Amino acid sequence: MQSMTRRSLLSVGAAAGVGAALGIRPALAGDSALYEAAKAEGELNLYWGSYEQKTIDELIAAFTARYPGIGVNLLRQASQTVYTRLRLEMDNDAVQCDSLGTTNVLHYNELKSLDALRPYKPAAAEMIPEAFRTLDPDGLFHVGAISLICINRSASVEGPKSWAEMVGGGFAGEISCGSPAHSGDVAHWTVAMLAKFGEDFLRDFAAQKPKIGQSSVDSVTDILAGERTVGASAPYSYTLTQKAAGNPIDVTMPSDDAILNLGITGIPAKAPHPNAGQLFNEFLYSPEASQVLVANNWPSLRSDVPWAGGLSLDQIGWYRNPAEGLTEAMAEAIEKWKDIVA
Amino acid sequence: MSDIRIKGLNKTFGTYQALRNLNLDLADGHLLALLGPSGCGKSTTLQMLAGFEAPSSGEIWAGDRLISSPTSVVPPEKRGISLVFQNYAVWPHMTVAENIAFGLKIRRLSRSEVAEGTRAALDAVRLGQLADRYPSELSGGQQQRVALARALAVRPGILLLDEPLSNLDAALRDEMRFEIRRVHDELGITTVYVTHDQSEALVTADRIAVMKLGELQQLGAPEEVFDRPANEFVASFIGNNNTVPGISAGKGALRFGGETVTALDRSGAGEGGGAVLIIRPGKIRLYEEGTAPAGLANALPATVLRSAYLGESRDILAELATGATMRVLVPPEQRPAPGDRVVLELPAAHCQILPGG
Amino acid sequence: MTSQPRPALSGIIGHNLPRWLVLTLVTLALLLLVAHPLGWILWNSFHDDSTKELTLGNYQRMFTRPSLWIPIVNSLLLAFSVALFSTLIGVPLAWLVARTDMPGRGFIRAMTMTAFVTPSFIGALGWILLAAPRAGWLNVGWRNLTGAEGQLLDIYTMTGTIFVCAIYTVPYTFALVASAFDEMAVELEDAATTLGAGKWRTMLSITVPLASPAFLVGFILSFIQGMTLFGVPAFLLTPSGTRVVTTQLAEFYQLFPPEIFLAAAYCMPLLIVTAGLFWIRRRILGRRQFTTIGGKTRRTRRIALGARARWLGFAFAMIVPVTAVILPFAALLLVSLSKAWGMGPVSGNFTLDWYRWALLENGETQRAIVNSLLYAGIAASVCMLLGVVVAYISERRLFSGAAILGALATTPIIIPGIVLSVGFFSAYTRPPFGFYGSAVLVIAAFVATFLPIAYSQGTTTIKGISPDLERAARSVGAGEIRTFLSITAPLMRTGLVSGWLLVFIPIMRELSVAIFLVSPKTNVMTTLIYNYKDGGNYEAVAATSVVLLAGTLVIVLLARLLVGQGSRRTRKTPTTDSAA
Repeated sequence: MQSMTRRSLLSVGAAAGVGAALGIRPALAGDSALYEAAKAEGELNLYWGSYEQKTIDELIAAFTARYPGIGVNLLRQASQTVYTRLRLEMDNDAVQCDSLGTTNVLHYNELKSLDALRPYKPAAAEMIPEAFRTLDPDGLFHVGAISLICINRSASVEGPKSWAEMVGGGFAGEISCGSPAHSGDVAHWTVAMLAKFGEDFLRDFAAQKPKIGQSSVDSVTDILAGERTVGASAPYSYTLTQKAAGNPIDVTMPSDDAILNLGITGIPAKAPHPNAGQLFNEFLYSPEASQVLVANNWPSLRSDVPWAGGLSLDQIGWYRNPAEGLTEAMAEAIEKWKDIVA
Repeated sequence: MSDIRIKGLNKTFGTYQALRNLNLDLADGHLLALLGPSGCGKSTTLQMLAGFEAPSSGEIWAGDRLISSPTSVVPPEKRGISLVFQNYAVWPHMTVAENIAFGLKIRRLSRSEVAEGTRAALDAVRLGQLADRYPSELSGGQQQRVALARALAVRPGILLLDEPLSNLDAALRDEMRFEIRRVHDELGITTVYVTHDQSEALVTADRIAVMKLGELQQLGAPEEVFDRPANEFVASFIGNNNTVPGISAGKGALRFGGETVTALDRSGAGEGGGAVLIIRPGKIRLYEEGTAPAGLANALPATVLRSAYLGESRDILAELATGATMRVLVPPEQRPAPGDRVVLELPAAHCQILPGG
Repeated sequence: MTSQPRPALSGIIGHNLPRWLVLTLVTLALLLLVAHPLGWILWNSFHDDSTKELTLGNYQRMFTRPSLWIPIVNSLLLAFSVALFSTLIGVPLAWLVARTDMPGRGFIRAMTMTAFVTPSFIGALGWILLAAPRAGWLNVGWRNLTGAEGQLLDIYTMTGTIFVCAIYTVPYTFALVASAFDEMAVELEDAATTLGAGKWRTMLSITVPLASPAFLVGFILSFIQGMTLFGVPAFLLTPSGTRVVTTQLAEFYQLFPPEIFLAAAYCMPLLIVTAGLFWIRRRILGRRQFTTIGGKTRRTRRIALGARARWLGFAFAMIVPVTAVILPFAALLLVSLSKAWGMGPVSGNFTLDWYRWALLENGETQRAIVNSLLYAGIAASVCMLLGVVVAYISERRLFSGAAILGALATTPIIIPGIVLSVGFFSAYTRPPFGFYGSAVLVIAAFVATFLPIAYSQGTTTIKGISPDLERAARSVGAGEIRTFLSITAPLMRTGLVSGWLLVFIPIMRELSVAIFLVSPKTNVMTTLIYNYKDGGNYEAVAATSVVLLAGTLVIVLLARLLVGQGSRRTRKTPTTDSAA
């Protein structure tokens, strides 16, 4: 099995390709104690729900190009699914995960209360946008992705300009949406909509007869298939990536604020390869990782690297759910969703 | 080689008693036929001899070795007992030679010993030229020879044959039963032969054990069983004896209605007690009414019910005054028709009186 | 040959040592594979998710909350409909192929086999492309053709789900019933014909009743499929907010916090219903269930349908090939060859990149291909070995109580994959086992899931081999183990290979057992495809699905070829026991 593990997630050729494209030079073993320790561990198991397949593949390729000698294994499933996996592993004292990346801050609150996270302070912390620099005073979890939730639409239609317009009646039967029970992004969006507009929003939304999938990317699928023309709680970056690939789809930044959901990442206390996990998590704040993110239309995690199209956080209107009481707000939002929408 | 001693053998399956208190000795080198209709316990006995079933009580000894008892059964492969099956059970995925060599290879013999043993067994059943054939290319009789050769090749102390000829057609059956006897005479292996066919038993066996409903009826040499059946069942099963119930008229005499017949009395019945007269159909003489010599002894009047022409003879069914029926084989020149009144002469020398059923 | 007397007791142990060894190993394997995980499910179901305390609360909640019993009702509806339709399609299909002169019989058999090889959730993906209410290609085509508004088909409905489940379940019914027809002795029908019955009358009063046990078994197996399928309802019923038991179970796992013990309790109705079905089958069929309808000739006579009926029959027989193979795979193939599938099949959108990506560039796909083949190969072999040995022990009644082993080996058939995987998770991730994340866990779960198939294949095969063939070997001096290896095993070869395929194929397409047990390193093709779908990458999903199907078909063909060559010699020989 060893040779297969070593083959890593991406074949050596692909990793070298991405590395060359980004001009990444391998770090030398002597560069840092962390790399040294990670290399000794030799392997890394990522449980990630943030970033879609292609982006995370390229992040890993860039990581492997920068830090040769560490085999990366990826479990990319929905945020709730990877979290459940980790919890089952913890219950059975069989933790495999070295880096958890999900879009739900509640996971980390719970892990923190269970004393199940390993603290670390990223070396490049000062490069992280200030608003997200210290998510946890104890350094148990950090920002892993900036996820913007907006409206997407078929390139052939105008679509709503705001959340309010979306539920106004002009788009009945046209809307596709994920489910808050399945997706952290959609859950955040639901909480934000309830906070901004109250329960009436959900009632109005339900009246539009939306098609409910699971993940937030289901809206992209439905629009590309021509099944629906408008996506609520739509993933900003993934939609743009599909657009870039030539698909007839586009994004609308709602005038009443895009919803910002942070992807969070942390290292389980019982991770089998904690140093490799930390090395990867810190790599997310490197210029190389930023390049990958920008190339895939994701907001970079460095304040000195602008997004694709020259955008940055201060140029758009955004809203983020307050961390206090989020657990209850989330549970309530899911209940209300089940009662009112599906 | 070894003798077989069966002591007080019983076998029950659930509430069904397949075998009751079987006691049987077979001398070394003899061929015993276990004869009886289905359900008589002969196959059960064979399964226990082979070691596939454990007795419920009793013992089986081979020579000085206890091979079966309720607490200990030497497994089939350790008994030195070979078994030949009714359905041949020749392994379809092996050639004739491979089938025969199998048992020899198990014994870790050298290559040349295996080849030699195989050749000898093939020759013994005269199949030498078919060594490389697959069983699917052989006739039933040839397959049965393979099965026999396979069983003999390992030089068993005892050979068991389970209705080996019943799947063969009549002509082959005749040929094979002489063949089995010939092989037995050549090799002298103690053999138990299970069959329901009396002619097979008579031709092949040194000793015949007649069984019925799990019980041994008679054990003896073929002539003994044939000529002096122990009871009515043996009499009718072997030699197709007529069995006619009558009333004892004193030692050596049996009354049928108004007529009395004298015969060898082996019944021990007292006067007035019930007994059975046995006589084979071929021993009876038939006279058309009025043609019987005067003063004919042991003569019974009867009416012909059926007459069938068999070529060599004529098979007559006749009804006595008592209502009992008898089969009579007469020369084909005699032509009694159904309804004819006839007289049957039962020569005293061929008549026996047995205890009544 | 030693002929000295032995002491009785040591004799018994000495002679039976291999036998006890095998029995102990087999019993241990069955306990570990079946009883242990099931025990954990039961145990967990009586515990509270948050307090971890002993409680009946899970069961209480299940019956008092409508949101929890509605999925059970939905599952029953789905399962019954799937069973009904796959019987209604599968039985006539089997008859047409096995007993008539319908054209294209070999083609239909092959296509039905291909449908069998296809994971149903991949079929569902294909059907989403075809029959999504607005964008589905069939709906678009229909609108263009008729100028009508609205849609012809809507796959996101219970009807759509039943349809997709049914077309991928038909192969089970077909296989069972067709083999009953294939093996039926022609004399039984001739007897009716000579008494003056016409060919149709003979079919209705002799052929069909004789094959009817196979209908029943097919119905029950289809019902269980309908109860236990996960991927199809997950993809097709989620959009309308309809839940069935399996998707509800998955939701318990995805809730925050997950309700794993409630999920364990939630499995119980499923277990009870499927167990009940098997009990009913036993009651109805009794010991008939495995009886081959034997006769000497295995050649069957085909019914001449007449020119019109032949082609009508052919049209009917094409339902499964068209709906389960040709249409969905055409759709998937088209998507997999697109640069961006949203652009549709226009020039300039064609590319082979996704295949290059899947086969050459993406290490994850490569690993999953290797894993799938490796795990399915190992698991199918272990499964057959275990299944055959258990079948042998219980068929030849080597021990009193051997039937219990058989029952244990059959049990997993009533356990939905998703439930079994939960049990395996609980049983083998904690010390002293700690198999989590290892291939052993995935393989063991596959073995357990498909043990019933292996066991029943083993039983059928062994029933075809007269015990006298073994006794003959014993009587010339071979021990039990040697007899099994030199006589029984070689004679079972053909049966073993086809049994192996019958286990290998479902493992290749199994999703629900694997989904909670795989780790990044032990990902298999199906879980990978499921995850890709989760990530919205349709081109990758389509390309990987096509690769999975192609790969499985290649293995199936190779194995067929292998058996075909080896078995000619021995096939003619009757190995069945004559009445004794």
